[in-house]
Amino acid sequence: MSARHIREVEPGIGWSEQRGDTGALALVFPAGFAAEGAGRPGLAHFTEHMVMAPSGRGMEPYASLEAAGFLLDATTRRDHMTITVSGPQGSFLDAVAALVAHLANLDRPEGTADRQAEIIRNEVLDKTRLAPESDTWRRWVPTPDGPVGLDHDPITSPALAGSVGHADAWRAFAAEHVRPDRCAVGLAVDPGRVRPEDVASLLGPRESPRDGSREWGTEPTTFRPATSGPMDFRAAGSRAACFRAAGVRRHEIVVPVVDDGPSGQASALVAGHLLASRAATVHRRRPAPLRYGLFDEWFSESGPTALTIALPADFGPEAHEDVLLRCLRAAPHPDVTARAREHVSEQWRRRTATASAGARSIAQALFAGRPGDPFADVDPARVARHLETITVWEEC
Amino acid sequence: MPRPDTRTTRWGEGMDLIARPSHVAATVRVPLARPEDVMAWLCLCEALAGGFTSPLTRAGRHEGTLFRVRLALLPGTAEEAVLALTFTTSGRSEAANTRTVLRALTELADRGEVGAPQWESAARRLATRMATTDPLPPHSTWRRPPYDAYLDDPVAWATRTRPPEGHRQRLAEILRALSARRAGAEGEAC
Repeated sequence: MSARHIREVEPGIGWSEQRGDTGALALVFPAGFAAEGAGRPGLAHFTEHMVMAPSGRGMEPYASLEAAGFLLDATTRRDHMTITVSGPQGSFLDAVAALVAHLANLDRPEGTADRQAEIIRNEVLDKTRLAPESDTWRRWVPTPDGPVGLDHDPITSPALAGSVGHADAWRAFAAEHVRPDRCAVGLAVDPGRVRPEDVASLLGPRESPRDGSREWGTEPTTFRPATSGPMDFRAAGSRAACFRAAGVRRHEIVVPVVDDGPSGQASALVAGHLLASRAATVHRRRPAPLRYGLFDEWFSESGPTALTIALPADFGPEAHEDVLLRCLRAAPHPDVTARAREHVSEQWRRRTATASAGARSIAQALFAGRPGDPFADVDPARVARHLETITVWEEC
Repeated sequence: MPRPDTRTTRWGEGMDLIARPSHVAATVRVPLARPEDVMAWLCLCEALAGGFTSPLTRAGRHEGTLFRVRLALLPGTAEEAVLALTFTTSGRSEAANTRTVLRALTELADRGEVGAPQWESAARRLATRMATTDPLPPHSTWRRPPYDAYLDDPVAWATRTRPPEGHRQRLAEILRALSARRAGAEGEAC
């Protein structure tokens, strides 16, 4: 068994069964960085903060949701914004109603915009451990076609520049992009306690997403580093180069993920597992974990990125790189690829086992317009191509 | 710049315990007499800082400008854990944010009892957090006694159990550490 079996109540609203007391609802909006438009970096994240800010001194919707045991969470990524509410299935519909009411009311108390701008600055300092220029949130890695960003720059740069509030722009952005009638919805509930049809009813009439988010106006973008100077990666040649400026701090295997559809991401993950296993054999160590993009979120967003696998701290690329690369790039036997696919597919099942992760995975799959099992049609030839494109990078 | 000393909470979040400019961190040791004490402190941390309506988060995020105030139990020895409070703030908002958190901590340390509604809603959120957090990684320090003790249903547990004894004293110790930092910062400013 790999992915959750997704059933659709109506187009864009999917659910899967979640036993136990805790259920979750995830809403994925086409409100990521890609929708900001030129000259408005940080607008999507700022809008997320404003939308999620309490609507008044009564601290709604948090007061009622948290008293009942619900947790509310929001994230902004390149092509989407996700809002998740999870908690007791016994009072689930009340929580959904409270969230929908909050999203419909964009009035926020005076001073909220200034406060949220400073909170965002403190968020960046917090999440990057006081080093926003580090690779924690802003990295890019070389590929044969040029650098690919693992880049959270639309958040980092405005925060570094000072208080960029977008106080006048966020409401229009939210009204256009953060709409319950135009989002992908994922539900992980026990249908005996929470009827998916009732949740759909609370969300109200919807526009039909004919073919995923791209029908709603969010075009895929090719991310390029926005803040660092030009670097000629082709000139670096075949051996590892110096990428301190790009934030590469360690020896690691880099797998460019240029084909960003679910099956492309799935084949990159299978290749990553093969690479981690091979490197572990060479170094006689336990396989290192894979890291997909900046946040290690699988199938969360579209767009070119990179998968990285850390090499041991005492790895000496000068002496071993050629041998290691030959080993890593070798085409695998189909049976080996099949076993790797099973392994990664099982990891994906575990990652989406909880209600909140499950609901998010459903909503994001519907958002991308591909609700099937992403590992169902992994092409061994595509896995082999991923292996051929890897590089080993080192800090200098 | 001192190197971060990051430890992981039960929920997989890193907490940097090295205090320095723009990063406030205070710790206090907490005795663990029984495995059940782990549950008690997890629930107390949830009540005081786990939700947006919890007193410390409300002070830090809604009165101040902090992204998050973290109060968490961290594994120590088998008999003694570490209760840690941390937050990160830009230099320009540090004084105001520290003052806001100190005021909330003072109220908590003076007030004593955690009210029944606050305690029970914290238990409900704790149950949700336990159900929606990924399993602990194999090498986590949480996977050793007594931290890996079976955690009962928090909601049922909280109805028959009061907040841990001595929590006011621990909060007062954290308060003293933060007060000393604030006094130092104001002294430097002079």
